[in-house]
Amino acid sequence: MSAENKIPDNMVRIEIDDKEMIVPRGSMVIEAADNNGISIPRFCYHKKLSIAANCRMCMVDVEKVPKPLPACATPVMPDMKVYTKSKRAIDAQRNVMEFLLINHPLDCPICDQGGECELQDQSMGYGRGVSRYVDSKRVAVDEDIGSLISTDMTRCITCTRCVRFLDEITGTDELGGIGRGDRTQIGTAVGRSIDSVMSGNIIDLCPVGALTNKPFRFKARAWELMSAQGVSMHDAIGSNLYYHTRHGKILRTVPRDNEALNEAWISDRDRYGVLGQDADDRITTPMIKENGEWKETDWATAMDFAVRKLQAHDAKNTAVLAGNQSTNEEYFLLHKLFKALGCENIDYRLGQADFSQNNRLPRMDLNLDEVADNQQVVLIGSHVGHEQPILAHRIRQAWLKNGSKVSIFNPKQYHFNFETFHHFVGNQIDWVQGLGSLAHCVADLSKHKAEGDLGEWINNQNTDENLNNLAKSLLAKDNNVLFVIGQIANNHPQASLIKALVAWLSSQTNGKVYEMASGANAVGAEICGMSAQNNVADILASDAKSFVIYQAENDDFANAYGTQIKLEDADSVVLMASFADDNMKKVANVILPIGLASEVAGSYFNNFAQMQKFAPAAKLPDETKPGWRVLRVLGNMLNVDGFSYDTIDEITDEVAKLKVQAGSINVDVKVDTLEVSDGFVLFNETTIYDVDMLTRRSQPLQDTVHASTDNLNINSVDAKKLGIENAMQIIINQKVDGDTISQSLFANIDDNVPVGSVHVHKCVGLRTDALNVTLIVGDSV
Amino acid sequence: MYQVNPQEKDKTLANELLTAETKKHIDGWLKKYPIDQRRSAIIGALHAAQEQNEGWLSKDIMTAVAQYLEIPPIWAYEAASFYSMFHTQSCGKHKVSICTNISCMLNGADKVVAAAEKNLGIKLGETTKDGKIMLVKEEECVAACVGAPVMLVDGHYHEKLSEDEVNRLLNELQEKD
Repeated sequence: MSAENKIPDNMVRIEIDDKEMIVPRGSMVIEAADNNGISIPRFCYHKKLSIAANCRMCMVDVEKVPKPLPACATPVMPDMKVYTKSKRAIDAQRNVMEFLLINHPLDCPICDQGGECELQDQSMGYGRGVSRYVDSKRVAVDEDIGSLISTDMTRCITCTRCVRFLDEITGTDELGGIGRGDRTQIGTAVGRSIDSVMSGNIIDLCPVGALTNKPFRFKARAWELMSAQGVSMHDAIGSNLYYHTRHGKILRTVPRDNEALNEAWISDRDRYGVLGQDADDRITTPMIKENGEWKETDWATAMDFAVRKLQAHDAKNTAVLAGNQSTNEEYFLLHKLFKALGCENIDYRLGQADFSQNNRLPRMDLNLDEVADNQQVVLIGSHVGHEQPILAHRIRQAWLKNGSKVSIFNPKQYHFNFETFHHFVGNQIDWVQGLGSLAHCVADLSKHKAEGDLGEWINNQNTDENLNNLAKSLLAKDNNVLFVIGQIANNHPQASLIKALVAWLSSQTNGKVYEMASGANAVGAEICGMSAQNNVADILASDAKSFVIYQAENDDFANAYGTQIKLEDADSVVLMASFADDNMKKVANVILPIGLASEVAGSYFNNFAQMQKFAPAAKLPDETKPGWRVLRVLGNMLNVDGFSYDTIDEITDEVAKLKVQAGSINVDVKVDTLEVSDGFVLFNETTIYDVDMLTRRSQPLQDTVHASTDNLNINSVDAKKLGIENAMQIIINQKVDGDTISQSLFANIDDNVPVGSVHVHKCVGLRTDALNVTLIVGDSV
Repeated sequence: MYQVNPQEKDKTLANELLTAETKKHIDGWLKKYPIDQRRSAIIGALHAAQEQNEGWLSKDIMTAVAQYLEIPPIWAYEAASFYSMFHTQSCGKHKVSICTNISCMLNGADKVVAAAEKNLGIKLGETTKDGKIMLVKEEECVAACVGAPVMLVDGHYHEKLSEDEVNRLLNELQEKD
């Protein structure tokens, strides 16, 4: 009795299978069992989803209750005695199993789920060897729900996990139970595709083979696969995942639970992005260009060639430009090597336009699992669901659990899966001024003025009532405010002004700042010193004649156009990359094929500056080498000291010793006002599947509705004024630095784009660092 | 608390397809529920839309109802496909439904069905060639067990039916316009 007295009020003592346990009051029997290592069969229950209790598989026997109860929907009661293996429980489970199998096809030999199927496993435990059912089975018509998920709805046992996931987690409500009783079928009802950017998780949730991975279909059996731990290569959340490989080739990706980061989910970009690995322009043999002809060669020749190219130029005229998807170890060696040679042109911030307050880590005042605790979230220049899908999920949790108010400043009206409190949409110049107006309101209310240029600029912005209300609610007491700086802000020509505004606002509202890193391992590149010297814009404007391009391509640059011209003019371009498209092949002199992060050992730093190590998941194709080995040899060939590493661990150890200085934003900035005198303000967006070399090459992702298009999106008011109709061909001209970039695009009337602005996707080839564009419609100029 | 996920602002279909009368009707239903539980208005709303749309619900009009209620369209499809009083395919002008649930079945619903099928020359779920009469595929308990077997003609209850009575009712119906 004395032990019982010690049970806190919010806990109860129960017994499951004669095992005593103290569990939280109000929790369900199945949770108590799961946490205490007692297995109860289930299909519809999932710890992250609401309770449906519709599969009836988790029947257990509870003392003094005359019939079996579903463990997932039975709350624990004081001194409850539960038996999961009693005759009554087992009989109930067996009977349910028999019913579930009545309509389930016996097609396990051709089912992708075979070997990793919860139904298959549990029918081994609870099913009969022979079916007593002799009538015809139910069949269902399969819907085409897009390029990522394949459906075999006849196999569905209507557990509704997918329906609940799309309702509760993604908030997109794309699937439902159509029909009634034994004729209920899960579907979209109208034959549409499932467009959530986290949709792939329903594959993992599906306990049977009804929803399976489309690109993986019929590729391998579960038991042939090896599993390797990996880290997301596409955003700085650093989602944990497993790569499943056969014969050293990655065939699919699944999430690895990490409650602090991605919970049990991964975004579709992380699931399918790696499939870009097999693109046609993958380089797997060293190549050199002789007399304009590409020739495959061996490593020794190619390295000699590269060294000669590098030695032909003074290090001062050499530039190193790297993508943001490589490992810390590669950045570390890259920086160490070229710094030792005296090169000052090293950068990784290829997509950025404003560098005036940089050379620092992103400011990050909280951990990801604290995002949901904030009562106010202000999104600044962010299509968050497409930039860091897991962060969008956390913000949704804040809205769902705390009723948090989310306010948004963006150049385009996006649809979010949380309600928005204040939604400010204006063109690329206006929304920054809107943020300035907010600051003005905050300054008026708090009677604190910002100092210097920034204060003067804020003072020049208009105020309005809506923003004043937002300012008031941000200043309210005991109000946790989180400011999220997104990629649209990062790549904005006024990025430093935007960030200074946010820093000032956060200081006034006692808020926290979540500044997104601009790529999977941009933080690692920064820590390894890749931005210590001249920035990309300076480098492109300098007379550098010799370039080293490391895991990057033209499309990664804010100024893709100018980059291409610069590289065409260069004396030598050494390309170290996994892929080389036609543009890169045109400018490069030598290509050294190096492995992707999924194929090498190494580590990443995520947005929170946490180091995550991984081992190679896939075999390097053909002659491809890990980047760090190539750099190590290059170091030796160029006679640089300290390049005698034998294992990658030695480099990782050195990286781990580097100083990690928390990022802080400078409020004292010089403000250059931007003006667009004639024409339109351009919003040039880097879309979700256009963020790096891999996603651009992943066909399943490019076949979704989120892939980039060559549309020119324009508001109906502007369209009417100019006589523009949908699908009309329009010439867009961008005049920068004396050059005119012209593209021919297709008009798409979209009222989510503010008046006076045009929205295009970055892949069409316009610069992101200049905002003024003019349009030519038909013959009228 | 149950929350409805934020919906796309697009209300094109709702504005195009729903008549002022239907909207008024839906507004009446919406008033009965708290805003965050507006999903509850779906049955009343679908009834109004079905009446407007010659007795059946097209995909478009279901989407229009969902847009008007600001709920996910899939919820409208789910409700419409669940209840037997909603028809998701175009159907006859007059609807005849015969309850085949337990009480009616024990009291000879099968005979009523057979008589109706014979009289009209169609099977359950089909519509006569002239598009006039539809035999509803399956009617759940209409809560009139005391009068089993029961048949509904355009919503009107006819109880304690014999085969002759069924024939009389259907002949009468065929003579109407």
